[in-house]
Amino acid sequence: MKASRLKVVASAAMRPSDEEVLKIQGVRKVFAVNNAYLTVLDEINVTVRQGELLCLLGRSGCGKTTLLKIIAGFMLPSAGKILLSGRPALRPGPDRCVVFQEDALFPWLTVAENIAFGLRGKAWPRRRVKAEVDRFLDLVGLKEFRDYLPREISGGMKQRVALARVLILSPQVLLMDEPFAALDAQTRAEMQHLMLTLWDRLNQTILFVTHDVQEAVTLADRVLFMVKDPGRIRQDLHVRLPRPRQKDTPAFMALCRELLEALRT
Amino acid sequence: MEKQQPPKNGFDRLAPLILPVGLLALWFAVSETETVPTYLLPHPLTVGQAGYNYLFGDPGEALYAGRFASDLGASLVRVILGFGLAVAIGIPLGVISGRLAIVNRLISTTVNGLRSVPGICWLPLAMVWFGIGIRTTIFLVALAAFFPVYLNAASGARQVDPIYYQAGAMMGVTRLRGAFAILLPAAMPHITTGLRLGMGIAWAYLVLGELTGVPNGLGAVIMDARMMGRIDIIVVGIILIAVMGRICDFLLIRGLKLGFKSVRRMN
Repeated sequence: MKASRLKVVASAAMRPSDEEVLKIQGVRKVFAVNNAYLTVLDEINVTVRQGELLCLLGRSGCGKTTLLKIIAGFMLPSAGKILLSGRPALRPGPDRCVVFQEDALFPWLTVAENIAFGLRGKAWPRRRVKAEVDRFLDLVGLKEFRDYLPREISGGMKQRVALARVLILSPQVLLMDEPFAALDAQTRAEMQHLMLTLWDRLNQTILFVTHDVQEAVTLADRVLFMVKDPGRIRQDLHVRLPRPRQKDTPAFMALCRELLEALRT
Repeated sequence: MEKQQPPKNGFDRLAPLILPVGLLALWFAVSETETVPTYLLPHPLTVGQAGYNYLFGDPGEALYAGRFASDLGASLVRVILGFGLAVAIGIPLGVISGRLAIVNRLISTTVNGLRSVPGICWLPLAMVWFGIGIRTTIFLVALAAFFPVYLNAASGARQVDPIYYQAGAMMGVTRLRGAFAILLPAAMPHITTGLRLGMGIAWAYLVLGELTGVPNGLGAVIMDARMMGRIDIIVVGIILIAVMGRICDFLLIRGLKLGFKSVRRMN
């Protein structure tokens, strides 16, 4: 790991880059439910900088997935806007890709074909596509599984493929919607480790949705703590623990306890 | 990697043959003991002889001798044209109406209404419209095969998990390209079911269409044999249609597997 990452005691201003990649401005989302209006998100303002790993933490129903869908472009906000490098982002596109919670790989394509899917539009020569796919197969440790079908591999491996197929497009922001929630504890820890390695190596900006306090504290540079009715950001917290993070250190546990306490209220 | 099927044991391999062989044995038994008179059900050997003549005899040697090839050719042309027409209209229309609610609302009532009309009701009308001959048969085959092809394509397209479209959209797939890269492969298992059902019905309506005064074709032979009192030829015709239907189904699946990896990999 780079020295700058090893000791993230600094605020974002001291990070390698100051560039604001993603700006969420005054986003509000209102759903019409049974002749009534339900405000799911209210006055959300967030700025994400290049290379930052930001966790959206909140209990289910606080609107964190809705916010992710709006950023991804799957849903339009009722008010406010999403700016990507200063430009409004409306439609979904390869500049901000999603790793879904559920299995969203194409079941009729092999692991390698799934990873290559997003490159189809690029009109690259076959050899370049193959080289790039091989590089990412290697990065997520699935080299021997390139010709397997999604149904033939485990849940953890599927999420590795899901990660590879979007990282290969080098999105400006990678959006992750509780991607490891369905995995067992051991696999989840492995995936977190893999994700941090890739984040570091590719200098990838990541917005990670989770309801798991430990996961947020393990991963994040910054935790956005969301509350519901209506969904708002209550706290914007910089996590200044050194990396790699040890779960059994007093500082780690204290932060977890603090967030858990906040989550309960 | 194509998944290997587990090796089949002897019973698995023989299982499909048990019923036909058993029926044949029963047929032998009732014929040998003369439980059923031969003018209702001829002896299997008589039928076998008639079948051999029909398939391999020299034309003119006996009634129906050697006609099989030309009858089969005529019938195949009608099935393929009728079924092809049903597929060419049914799949695009089905996929579109499965994806666009407005199209579905526009045509589903009409389609479901027409679907409940038994195919035979169309026969008199088709004869008035198209006269006696190949066009009437093709019309009937196409009409009958259309419904299962259309309905399965529609439900297949409707049931595609929206997450696949979201995944496609975020990876930069446009709507039109998505129709071929995502929608069709994802709906392929349903479409395959529709094609198989449609092919089966196509054979059924082929015979219906050929019952009315066309000179050749497997259905025409059956009808002709009834007039001539040749029960053995009727039985031969029935068996041949069953065999041809099975072969067509087999070839259809083979062809689809060859052409579409979604069929190879998702069944």
